Amino acid sequence: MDARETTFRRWLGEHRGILVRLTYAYATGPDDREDMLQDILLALWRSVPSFRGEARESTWVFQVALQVALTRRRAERRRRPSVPLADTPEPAADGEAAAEQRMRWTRVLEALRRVAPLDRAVLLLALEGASQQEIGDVLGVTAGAAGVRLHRARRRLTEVLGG
Amino acid sequence: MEFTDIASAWKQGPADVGRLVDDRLMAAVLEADRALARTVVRRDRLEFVTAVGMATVFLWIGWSSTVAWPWVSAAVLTLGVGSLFLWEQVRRNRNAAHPPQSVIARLTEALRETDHQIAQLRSVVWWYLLPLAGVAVLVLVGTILGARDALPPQTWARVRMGAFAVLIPVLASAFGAIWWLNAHVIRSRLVPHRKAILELVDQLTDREAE
Repeated sequence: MDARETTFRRWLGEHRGILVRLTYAYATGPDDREDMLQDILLALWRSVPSFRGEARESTWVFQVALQVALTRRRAERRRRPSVPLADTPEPAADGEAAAEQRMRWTRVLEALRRVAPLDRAVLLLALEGASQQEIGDVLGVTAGAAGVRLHRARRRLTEVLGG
Repeated sequence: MEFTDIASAWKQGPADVGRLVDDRLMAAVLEADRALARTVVRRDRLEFVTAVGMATVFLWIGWSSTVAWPWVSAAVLTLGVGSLFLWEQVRRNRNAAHPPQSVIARLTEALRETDHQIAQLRSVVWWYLLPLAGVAVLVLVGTILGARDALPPQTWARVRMGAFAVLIPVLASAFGAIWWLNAHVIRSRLVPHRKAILELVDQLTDREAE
């Protein structure tokens, strides 16, 4: 395994949860989600040689994934060979707690989808634990600008969630 | 819901797709990468190699013809069009060597690339269709002039007129269809895509957010 593949596998191993949840936030359905994840994986793979370590790896991964999600054209789907993903494991039906958890998550997802794409990106970063500085680094704006945008996006999300 | 509760609920969502980093996936990513490179690189290289091949044939015909200038001119025009594809590949490689990093830089680069594609397709008449039409006319002129001594004058005049009477409508139809297709792609795909990216860039550079 060469250095490029090692880096790629490490990025996926450390950030796969974020990548999967991002596709839920931006894709329009299961097929589109799979296509988007394939596009993100391909973009990440192609970006490995360009990564010089000037930014944090998580910042880089976010930047690549967000660019794909924000600029992707649906006409580009299925033009490339499919990257087969393993079956998405169905959550175990193990009682009320799991059902409640799923329902809360679905409610947050539906609210996120009603927010503008760029505000959705800011919210996703914040929900995944990024600081204002990190959000600014990912987007390419100052931490102050990122903070203002995050404040507006959080207000919008709260409105959509009904208080 | 408090934002911390929202974040907690969000992180409990799907986080896995099973064997996300298995060998089968790696093989598929590598193949998708190779296929993409083949599609982009092969198209431009094929155009250039075809242009060089055709120019060589034209020069050889001109060398052995009594009237060389149409064939030499056709070779020059063909090489000119082919070299534009080579230049496009050089431009793409140069951009790939210095990729943007932040989302706004990537969006700005995507906007620039979309503008470049639109400009290329809008000007296709000048840098592709007209030169190729010129090559077709020059080949016909070279053929007709080369046959002048082999045909009686009246026959040669009729052949000359007939050839152009067929060639011009064929060229106009074929190139008109290509031009229309390009215009359709610009209108239906590239312009809406550009508008979407521009909105994102405008939002990110919104000075009210500062």
